[in-house]
Amino acid sequence: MNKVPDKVKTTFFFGPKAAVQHSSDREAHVIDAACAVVTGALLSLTALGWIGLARVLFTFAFAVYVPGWSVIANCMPKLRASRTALPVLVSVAILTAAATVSLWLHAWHPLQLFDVEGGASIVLIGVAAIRREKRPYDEPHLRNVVPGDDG
Amino acid sequence: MRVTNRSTRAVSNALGRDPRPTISDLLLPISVVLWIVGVHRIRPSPVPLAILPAGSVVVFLAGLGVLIVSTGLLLTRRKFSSHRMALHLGTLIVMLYGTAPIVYPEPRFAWLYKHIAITNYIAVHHVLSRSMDIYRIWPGFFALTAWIDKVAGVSTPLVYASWAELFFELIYVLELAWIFRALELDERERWLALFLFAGANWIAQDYFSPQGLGLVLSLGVFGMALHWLKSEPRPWVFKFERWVAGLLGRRRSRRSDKWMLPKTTTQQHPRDTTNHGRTAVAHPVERSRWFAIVALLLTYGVLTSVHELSPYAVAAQFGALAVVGLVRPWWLVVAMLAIAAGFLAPNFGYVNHTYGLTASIGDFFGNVQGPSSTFTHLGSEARLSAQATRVLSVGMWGLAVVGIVRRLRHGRSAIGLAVLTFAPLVLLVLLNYDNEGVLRVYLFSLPWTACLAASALSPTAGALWRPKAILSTAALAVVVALFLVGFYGDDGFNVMTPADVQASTFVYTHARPGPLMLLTQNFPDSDVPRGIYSDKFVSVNPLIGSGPPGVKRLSPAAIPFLTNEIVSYGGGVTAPGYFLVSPSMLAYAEEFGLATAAQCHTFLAAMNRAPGWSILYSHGGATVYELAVGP
Repeated sequence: MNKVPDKVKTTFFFGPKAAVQHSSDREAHVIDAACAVVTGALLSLTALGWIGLARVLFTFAFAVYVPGWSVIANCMPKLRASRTALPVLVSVAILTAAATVSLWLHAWHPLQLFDVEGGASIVLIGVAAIRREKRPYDEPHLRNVVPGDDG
Repeated sequence: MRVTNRSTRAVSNALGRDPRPTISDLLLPISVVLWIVGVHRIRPSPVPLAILPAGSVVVFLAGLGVLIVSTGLLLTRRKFSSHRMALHLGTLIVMLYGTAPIVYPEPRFAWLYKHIAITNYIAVHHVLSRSMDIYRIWPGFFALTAWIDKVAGVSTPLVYASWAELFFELIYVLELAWIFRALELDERERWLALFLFAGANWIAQDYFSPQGLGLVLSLGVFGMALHWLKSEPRPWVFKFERWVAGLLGRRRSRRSDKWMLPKTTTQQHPRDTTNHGRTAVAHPVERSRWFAIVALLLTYGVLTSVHELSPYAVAAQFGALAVVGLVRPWWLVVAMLAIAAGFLAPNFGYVNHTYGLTASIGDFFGNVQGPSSTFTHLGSEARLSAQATRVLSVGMWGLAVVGIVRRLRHGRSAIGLAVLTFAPLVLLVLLNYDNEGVLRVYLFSLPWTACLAASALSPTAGALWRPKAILSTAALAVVVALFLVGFYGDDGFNVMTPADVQASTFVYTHARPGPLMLLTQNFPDSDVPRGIYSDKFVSVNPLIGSGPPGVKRLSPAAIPFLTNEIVSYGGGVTAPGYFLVSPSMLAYAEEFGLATAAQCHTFLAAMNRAPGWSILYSHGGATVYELAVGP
């Protein structure tokens, strides 16, 4: 009887239009926000030239997750089962490839490279968030429902 | 009441849908406290087996023991809690791989400093150099770490290199947790396999090295293939398995014949497939098939730029899966080999000339020899460590064979895991890899060996003291015990003391250019501050233990030989010459029977008054002798 299913709630994330959000979407938004915070903080710290443990930790947090999440969130937005491992793999692969190619091309500018990678990640995460909002609420979410397996 | 229900649900979610307290909830913090106290008591020392002797580390071992018992209790618990298992697994990894960076002030392994120096070279010079040797050809890892250094604002990877083992292991297990979900393993088997992998990975490839990153990418390739490109076995494989299972006395079983969870096809909606109590929604295949193929090949391409051997191990395992039809399309193997060969081809001449690639082809029994076979004498610690790792490796493979038999007898497919486990053996037909080929075979086999071993142990719910239930706990305890001996057993010489690192830094920072000789090769002999193999120093073969022209017996009579060697490179003639001795070199010499402590003492006493030589630097047992330019 048009009952709103479990794990679905109404939200106003991008503007006044009501959208219905799955619980996995809520998780994705939290991840989006965390990635944006890490990237923004690291971009700021590198721009200011601040040195310390926080910058090291932000760097590793960025390197092992953010670029990969920005790709996975767009390419496989509904696949919940690989939300942890796959972004790590893709992040490491992307950053290794970018650094290696820039070295081969004798264009070694790591900070500028990071600016590009960080900026692109934020843009892609934003695009993924918008696409997620526009998706119909009843579109199926592919997730592994083996108990305890949520990626 | 509403609040109570909500909070109960929150706790329930946090603990794997079972909020009832268990004894493991008490044992886990106890084990952590014991470990912290134990680690605090361990004092870094170059004494062999420093981390293991009873007395100083009883509390440390007790912490591990409590954790393993707690894990066993969880494995046999009727209401399985995956979140608790995850907490235990993370704790085990921190205990096993996080102890060394806490206990030792400097990163372990002399050759790690070479990797740090290469990273620093890239950071300073922004290019690759021919002096980087083989690392110039596979620079992916060093490019990444140099990038990290710059973005993190650190001047050298020494800041974080000690933690690489813990970091990589956590990522491996994260990836394997994803990969194992594609395999036909029940939940207890999957978790036990993860614990066995973490507890049996004694190879120590996970230090700050290209192979550490290489395994991350290799596992990623397998994850993509097994989740997205899986297929049904060829008919002959199915018949063969049935035939073998019949020979083994197959029992009636409700379990499926599949080796992986069922796949879906092109449907828009996920298909729920019931698998005896477990509901699995498989992943979309066709829609993302081309995405998967492209992603897999790109990842493989990155892997090819990172490590020289890993791409071939992956291709061998992937090829074996393609032969039995479990992964498709088959031409992906050809594409992989084309990428790897295309990358190697321009450098094949150099690599073959330097490392004799073709010389070891076909010499299976020669290639199967481990690194310890190169030494004529092994000290008690090195011998114990080598025996422990041998028992652990053979034991894991033995358990894997039992797992294959058990799976077949219970009507479960084993062919996929079997080919993944044993396909890396092909590498031993092709190469020696500086006597480390067999280690790499074990490493690439280990994830799948752990799965089969978990099937062999087949943990079930019930009281811990039941024979079937206690088996997996006991096996895990034995694995971890052997791991400790294998992983830390050689720390008597693998640990680089601050004196070693400071002596190295002094030489490369303050000494004038000239030929440089070490007592043994076990020293961080890289220009860490400015990059590897700068032309500042001519590296002369170590005095003992590295073959001709070194001396066979260390005594004062070796000093004229040492002087002549340095002079032949211009030392003492056109430039000063140097001879280095450090604690890790002495420990190495004693452990491998190159010289006794008394011989070292006599030799060094003679060096202190040798004509022409003077002490340029001496601190903490490390001494730099200088042969000044003569009149």
